[in-house]
Amino acid sequence: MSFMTGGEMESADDRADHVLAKRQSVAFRSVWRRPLAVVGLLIVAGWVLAAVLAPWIAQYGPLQQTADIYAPPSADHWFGTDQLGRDVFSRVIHGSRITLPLAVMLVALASVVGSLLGGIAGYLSGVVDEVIMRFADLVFAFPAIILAMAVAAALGPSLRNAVLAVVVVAWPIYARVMRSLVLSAREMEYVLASRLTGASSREALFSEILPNVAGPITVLAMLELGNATLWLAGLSFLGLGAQPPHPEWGAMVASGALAFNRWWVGLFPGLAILSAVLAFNFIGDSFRDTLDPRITRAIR
Amino acid sequence: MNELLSVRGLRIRMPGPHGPMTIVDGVDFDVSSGEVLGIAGESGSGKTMTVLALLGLIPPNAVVTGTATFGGRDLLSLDRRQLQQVRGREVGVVFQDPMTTLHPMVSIERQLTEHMRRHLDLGRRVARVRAISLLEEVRIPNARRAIEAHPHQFSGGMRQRIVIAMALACEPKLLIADEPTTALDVTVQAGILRLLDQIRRDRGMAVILVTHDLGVMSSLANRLAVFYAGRVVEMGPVKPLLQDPQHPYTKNLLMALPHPQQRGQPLQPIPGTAATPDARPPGCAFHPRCQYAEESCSIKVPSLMPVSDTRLSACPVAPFAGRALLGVEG
Amino acid sequence: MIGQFDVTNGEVALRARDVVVEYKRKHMPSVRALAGMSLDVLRGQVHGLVGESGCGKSTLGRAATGLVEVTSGSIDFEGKTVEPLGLRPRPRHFRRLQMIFQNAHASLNPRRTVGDQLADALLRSHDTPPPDRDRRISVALERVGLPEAASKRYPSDFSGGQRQRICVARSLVAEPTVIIADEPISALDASAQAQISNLLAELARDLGIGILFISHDLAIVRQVADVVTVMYLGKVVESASTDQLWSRPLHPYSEALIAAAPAHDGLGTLPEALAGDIPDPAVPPTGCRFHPRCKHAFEICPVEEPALLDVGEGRRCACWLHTEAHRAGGDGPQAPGGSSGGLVS
Repeated sequence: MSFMTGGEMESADDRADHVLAKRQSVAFRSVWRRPLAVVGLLIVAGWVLAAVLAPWIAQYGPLQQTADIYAPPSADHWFGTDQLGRDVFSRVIHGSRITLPLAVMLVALASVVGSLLGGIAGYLSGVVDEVIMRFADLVFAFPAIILAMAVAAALGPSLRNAVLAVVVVAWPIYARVMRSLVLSAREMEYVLASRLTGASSREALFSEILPNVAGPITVLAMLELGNATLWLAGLSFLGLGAQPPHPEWGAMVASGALAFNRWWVGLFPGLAILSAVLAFNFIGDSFRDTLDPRITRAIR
Repeated sequence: MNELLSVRGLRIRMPGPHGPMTIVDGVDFDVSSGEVLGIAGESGSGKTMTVLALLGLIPPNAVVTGTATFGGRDLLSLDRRQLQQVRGREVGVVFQDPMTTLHPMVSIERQLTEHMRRHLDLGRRVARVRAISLLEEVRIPNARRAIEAHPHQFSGGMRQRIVIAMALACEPKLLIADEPTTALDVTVQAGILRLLDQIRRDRGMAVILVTHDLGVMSSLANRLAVFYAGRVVEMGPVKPLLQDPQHPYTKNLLMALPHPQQRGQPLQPIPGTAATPDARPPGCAFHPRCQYAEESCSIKVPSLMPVSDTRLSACPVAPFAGRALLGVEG
Repeated sequence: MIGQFDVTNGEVALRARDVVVEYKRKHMPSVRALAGMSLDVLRGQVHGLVGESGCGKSTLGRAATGLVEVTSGSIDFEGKTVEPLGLRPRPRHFRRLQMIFQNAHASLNPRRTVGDQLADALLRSHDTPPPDRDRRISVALERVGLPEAASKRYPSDFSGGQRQRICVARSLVAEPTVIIADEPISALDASAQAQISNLLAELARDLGIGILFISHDLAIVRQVADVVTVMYLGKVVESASTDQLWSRPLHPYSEALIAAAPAHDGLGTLPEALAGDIPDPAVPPTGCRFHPRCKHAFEICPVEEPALLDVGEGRRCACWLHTEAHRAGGDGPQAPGGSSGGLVS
């Protein structure tokens, strides 16, 4: 044994105990203990409240014009007014009723369509797989926003078409992930066992495979919410989504860009977009890390 | 006896889902030059973590205490750079899967000579000659051609031989082999066991052999340390230990294995399931499964005590155990 | 005694005849995982199937259950030929041929309770009324030594050995006449290995189920199997009762396999090594597949492949050393004093 006095030996073991205790408290924290997740949830909760209580929070109507054009932030207009004298704060609050629900709807649609296609491709393989995956590759070949622009422009500028455009751009990632999850699940012995007791392929896919792939897909959808918000706002910014006078955040940033020296017109909607995207990303990351870091990190 | 490696009080703990877990709970053992120490145990017994700790390869959130004295230094307190010096140069390692050691894209020559050249400061040509002779030592046919090839061109058994050659490259004093033949077919395993035996004799190396397979232990090991739930429960020369086990776990384990004489009769499993690190029973970890357990077994952790002049056992109550030479009370 | 051969049980339940399973590969020669092999599994018997990597033993198991397509030859289960599994449900007749896999972890759906998974066979047969279902599940669990309460739990609550027992229970619910156990114990600890092996032997003895026990662990096979078939590189090289095989192995590969397993007797004997490597199944040696590694190989061995012949006492062997026709001195050179084989019946 090494030459150590009682006092020294104790401190080596104590130090080890201390280090272990610290690592223990970090390692198995539940999702609620992760600071970023909490921040993200608070922000989202805040926006949900804003959306629900908009008519009561906002002093003015979102389309209400006043004579006070391009007024800087003041006690009367917390975020100032825009080129038509509309209160920016009210418009930002009402904007949450557009961007956020649409982003969620968009992700839901894209994930369902994408997962379905990807699942079928993964399970059936062969020609079906090839065809579906080539369509996915086609979409991947384009930069997302460019393709979305093209589709939105082709369909005609409107909020509804912007949503469709983003769905077209967003579904392939779900298809690809789902396909690879199904490919590996398909070979699992519990799937084979269920086939041996007389399950058809379809039964095996729905009762055995699907429950096991729902988790990773949900995490992916959460991570994609941030992207969906950005793309939607981006299309509106370019004039291909929400049309004036809707208080959609992206469109508001666009009008802010036309009047740079009136910094308040574009900044606040921009910050709103930023906060929403960050919040979705924080939440998504934390869920990913809690559920199964190894599997889900491989997804992105 | 030269003790090449002396491990005292090795404890490895890690964060776990229900609180910190103790993977290895105060393990002591020695290895002398020229001897093969077998570390036997099933999965979850802590045997692999023990040797990983010696090599500095435990997971980053594990906490290690204790000492492992090797060549005058404590392996457990070396920093990364010092460990790199020891690993490869003084301690060679063979793991279960050769493809975790061999780089699939690099030629055999480069893999063999790379750390030879770094540790021993050899020129390229000298290193190459040594590499060829190492491949011949591990019985790779056509060593001169083999050296230009890549791992995927070899079978599993051949790759493991190459890994052994790499482990020997810098003439280490100690070889650590963790389940070196578990992934191999039995006829290929036989060849590797013979090779390891030969090499050990030729070079006078010490070997730590970690495996769950008592047949492999029986062929190669001189002394055996049996691990259960992170502790050593029995230790001694291999032949008397396997033929006359003193600890109930060892005894039960041997009874559960098939025996040629018992053809046609049922095998004898051990009741219960193996203790896992996050749910270790109090007192003696084996007591819930032990047919000789008494009340004291669930209270106090028995320490490893001599039961003869060469055998240690951590069971004070087994009625079948001899308490011969030292007059130790049972 | 386990595995005592019961005459009333002895009907052939699973018959493989000249089975070839070939995989095509892009830009490379195709590989024959099975190159023409035959065996019978009888009711009430534990039939050990042993061999090393590339011998095809697992492929046979999968071909017999339709998970892999047979290229030529046939596998019949209770008289009907097995067809590969497509999108449709497996035909009822074949559901009495069940399988247990090596990976007990992946053999159970982590998101469904044990009870639900056991009930699958009952639901899909459509003929079990709900009250009976629970009873049959309990009976199956009891048979494998697990409590009824296990059916409400999830697989992650159980150890590897327990999970494997659940898999056995699942196959029992389907009332099988044959269970193919593909390396059922390799991933388990020694005690669980003993339990599962005992369990399978009991099922053969008590329920008259034919067990095809596929394993690379010769010691366990020796203890629980009644008959053993040895395979090498896609073909059967020898088949005999367990006692016969161990007391007097005929084929040089069987001999080598037995001699290569180390014993845990503490005597320090090193096991016998076998020269050479297992060849690439895509490019098997000419003539007898084992000849490059065989101590006793002589002139005919690299030239012509020996057939699997009856060599008496119910044994079969595919080796020129034990071929009567050759020994009669007719066609070719004599064996250089090979071991005394049996007569061809």
